[in-house]
Amino acid sequence: MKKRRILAGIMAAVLVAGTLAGCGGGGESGSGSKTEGGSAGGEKVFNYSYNSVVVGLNPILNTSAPDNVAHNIICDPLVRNAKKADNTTEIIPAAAETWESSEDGRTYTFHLHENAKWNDGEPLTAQDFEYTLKLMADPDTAAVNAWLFDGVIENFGEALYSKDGKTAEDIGVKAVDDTTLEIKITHPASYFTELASSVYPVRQDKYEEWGEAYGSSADKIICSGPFEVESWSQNTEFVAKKNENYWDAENVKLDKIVMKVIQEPATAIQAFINQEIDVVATSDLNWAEQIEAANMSTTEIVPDSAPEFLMFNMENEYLANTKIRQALSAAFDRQEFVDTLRDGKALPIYSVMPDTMLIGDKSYTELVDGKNYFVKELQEEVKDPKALLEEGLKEIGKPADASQVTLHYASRGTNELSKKMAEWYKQIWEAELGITLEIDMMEWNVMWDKIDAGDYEIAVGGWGPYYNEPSAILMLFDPETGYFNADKLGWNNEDSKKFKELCESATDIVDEKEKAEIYLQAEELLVKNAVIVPEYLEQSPTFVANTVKNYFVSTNGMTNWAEVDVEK
Amino acid sequence: MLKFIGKRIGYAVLTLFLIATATFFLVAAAPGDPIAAKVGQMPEQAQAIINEKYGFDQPVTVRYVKYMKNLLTTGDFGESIVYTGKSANDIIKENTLISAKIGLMAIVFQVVIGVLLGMVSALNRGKAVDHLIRVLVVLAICVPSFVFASLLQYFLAFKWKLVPVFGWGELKHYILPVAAYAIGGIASYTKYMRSSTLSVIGEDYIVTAKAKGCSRGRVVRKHVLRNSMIPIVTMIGPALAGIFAGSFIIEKMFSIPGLGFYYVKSVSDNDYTMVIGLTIFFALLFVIALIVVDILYGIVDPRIRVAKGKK
Repeated sequence: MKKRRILAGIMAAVLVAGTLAGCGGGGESGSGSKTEGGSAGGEKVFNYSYNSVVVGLNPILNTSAPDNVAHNIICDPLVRNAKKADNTTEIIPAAAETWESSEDGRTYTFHLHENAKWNDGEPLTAQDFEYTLKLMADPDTAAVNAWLFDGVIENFGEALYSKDGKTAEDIGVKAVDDTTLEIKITHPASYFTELASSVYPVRQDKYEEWGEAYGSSADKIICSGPFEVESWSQNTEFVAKKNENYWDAENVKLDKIVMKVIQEPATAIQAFINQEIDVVATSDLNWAEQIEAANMSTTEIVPDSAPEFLMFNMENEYLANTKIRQALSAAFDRQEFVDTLRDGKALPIYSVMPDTMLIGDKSYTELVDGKNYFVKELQEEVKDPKALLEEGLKEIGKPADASQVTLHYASRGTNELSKKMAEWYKQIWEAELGITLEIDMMEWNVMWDKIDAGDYEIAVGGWGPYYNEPSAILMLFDPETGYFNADKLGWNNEDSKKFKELCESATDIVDEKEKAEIYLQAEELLVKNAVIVPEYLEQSPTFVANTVKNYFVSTNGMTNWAEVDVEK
Repeated sequence: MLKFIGKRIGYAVLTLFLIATATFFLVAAAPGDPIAAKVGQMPEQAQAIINEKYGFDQPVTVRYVKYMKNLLTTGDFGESIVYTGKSANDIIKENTLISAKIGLMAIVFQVVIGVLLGMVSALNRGKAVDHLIRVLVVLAICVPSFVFASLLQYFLAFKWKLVPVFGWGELKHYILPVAAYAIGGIASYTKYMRSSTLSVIGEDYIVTAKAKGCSRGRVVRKHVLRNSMIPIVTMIGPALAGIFAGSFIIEKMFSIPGLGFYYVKSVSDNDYTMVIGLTIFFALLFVIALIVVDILYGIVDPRIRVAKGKK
C-alpha cells in the first residue's frame, strides 16, 4: 500500500515537473529577448527612478517632469542651472562657453564652444538654436512652453499670438556665425540666462525628417548633451550612455544613467536600501527612519521653489470683499498647517515669493528687508479674524453674522493629503470664524476645468516658477495675460489694475533695489489683500547613496549630470 | 454545434459594439477636458490645431461616427493624446505580452499546484494533511494578492535579498510577481479540486475499478484525476480572460512594464483614445475567452453539448 502511494506521488511529481519545464522554457525565451542590461565590470552606472514614464524626448512638445529629467541628461542647453550651497542657482556654461549682455541689457550674445557637437558628430551651431527658438515661436508648432518667451524675446509673443503681422522669422534671434548667437530682448531681464537654460536644441534636418515622431523612440532622437540615448522602453527604463562626441566628454564621469519607472513608493525605498537604485525621495516618516537606520546614504533637503497657495474666486459675493478674504488668510497658523498635514516636512511661507527668489544676484527678501512676509504682517494686525470677517459682511450689506456664510472648497484631487487638507480647513475656519465650509472633493483635472470656467469658490493652487525672479510668479496673476487671470480669479478691480501697472513699470527698471520695491508693492496687493493665500513650500528629503558623488538638484529640479559620479 | 458557435460570435460582436459605444459616450461625458492640460498657455491657433487633430472641434456624435468608421475599416484606435506619435494600438502591441506572460505563468502554477494539493487533501480526508491544507486555503483565499505581494517583496527581496525588489527582463524578476499572483488561485483550485475529487471517489465506477482489482495508483490516475478535472477545466477559461485585470496591482508593485500602468493612468489623464482603445481590447479578449469556454464545455462534457444542442 505504502509503495503504491509513493508511486502515485512520483507520477504526480513527474506531471508537475513536465508542466513546470514547459513554463520555465516559456519564461526564459521571453526574458532572453529582453535581457541585455547586465552591467559590465568597471562601468559607472547611476541608477535612477521616477514614478512615471518618460512620455517623449521632443523637448518642444514633451514637458512632463520625467521628460524634463531626460532632456536635462541628453540635451545641451545654451547654459545650465547648477545648485549653489545656499540653494540658489548659478548659471554655468553648457553649449555656450561665454556670454555677455549689452550695456542696456537688451541684447545677449552667446559664444558657443568651437567643438560643440551632436552625438552623430555634426557640429552643434548657433543656427540650431535659432531654428529651435523660431520653431517654438511658430504657433503651428504648438510648443508647450513657448509662452515663456512672450514679452521677453523681441517679437516672440507677436509671432506666437499672430499679432502685428509678425511671424517666427521676425523674432529677435539671430545666428551671427556658426558659434555666435545673438538674442534681443524687450527689456532688461537679469533672469534671461536662467530662461535660456530651458532651451534644448532640436536639429532641423532631423525635425523635418521625423516630424511628429521626433523623440518618440530611441532611434528617432538626436542628442547634444553629455549623454545619448542607449535604449528606451517606455514603461521599463530609459538608458543613457556617455556621449563621446560631447564637447566636454573627457570630464563626464558616468558611463551610464539608467532611469527606471517605479510607481510604488514602498518599492522604490526598498530598492534604494538594497542598493538597486542610487537615490530616492520620500516624506514618509517610517520609511525615512528605515533609510537612516540602514546608514548607507546622506540626506539632502532642498525646499522646492513652487509656492502652494489658496485662491479665491472673487466673483463670489463674499470673496469679493477684501476683509473677508483677509480673515480667511489670517485665521490659520502656517506652522500648525505644516506640522499637522505634512509631518513638518514642508516649509511654511508668509510671502508668495520663496526666499530663493533673486533680482540680479541679490535676494529679493533681503532687498526688501523681509517686508514681503505679508501674511505675518496681516496676522499681527488682525487680532480677531472673526471680527474682521463681520466688518467685511457689513461692508457688503449683509448681517454681521458669520454663521450665515457658506463657502465651497474645491479639493485638488482625491488623494489622502487633499482630503486631510480640506478637512483641516473646514475645522479651522468653522472654529475660528464661525462660517460653514462645504467640501467638494474632485479629481485634479476636474478642478482645473472648474477653475478655467470660474466655477469654484475656494481652490488650491501651486506653481513652479520657470526662473527665480519675482516676475515669474507675479506675471501669473496679471488680470489679462496671466495664467491665473481675471477669468479664473475674478480679480477685476482697482487693485488688479494697479497690480498690472506696477508689474509693467518694473520691467524697464535696471536698479535692483528700485525693482524690488515695486515688486513688493505688487505683492502687497496680491498677498496682503489676500487675493491668494500662501501656504507652504514642499520640502521632502532626498536620500542619496554614499557611493554617489556630486549629485545635486537645484530648486527648479535641474541636475548637472556631467558632474555626477559613482564609486562602487 | 456550428450554428451554436455562430450565434455566440454574433452576440459577441454585438456586445463589443455596445461596449465601444458606451465607452465612447461615457468618456466624452466625463468631466475634465482631455487636452486642457496639454494646451495650457498655447495661443488660440495652436489650440485649434490640436483640437482639430483629435476632432474636438466637432460635436460628439460626428466624432463617434468618425471614430467607429475608422475603427471598423482600419482597426485603428487612434493616436494617444498624452503619448504623442503613438497610437493606442502601438501601446497595446508593446505591452500586452508582458501582462499576459505573468498571468499565464501564474495560471499554470495555480492549476498544477491546486490540482495536486486538492487531490492530496481529498485522498487524505480527515487526516492532519487535509486539515493543514484546508486552513491554508482559507487563509490564501481571504488575503488579497497585493498583501501577499508586499509580504513577499518585504521578506524575500528586501530582508533576505534572495531576489530583486523590482524590475523586469530576467527570470529572477518573474518569481515574486508570479508567486503573488498565483497564491489566491492555487487556493481556489485546491478547494474545487478537493470537493470534486471527493464526489468522484464516491462514484460507482470507482468502486467498480477497485473491485476489478485496480491498484490504488491506477485508480487515482486513470479514473479519479480525469473525472475530477472537469470542473477545473471549465474554470480556466474565465481565468484566462481575467489575467490582465488581475495583474494591474502586481505590475505596479514590482514595476512590471505591462498594460496596467497605461490603463490606470490614461483614465486620470483623460487620454480618451487610450481609454476607449484599451477598454475595447480587454472586452475583446474577454468575449473571446467566454466563447472558448462555451466551446470547451461542449468538448469536455458531452452532456452539456447535448443540452445546448436541443435548445
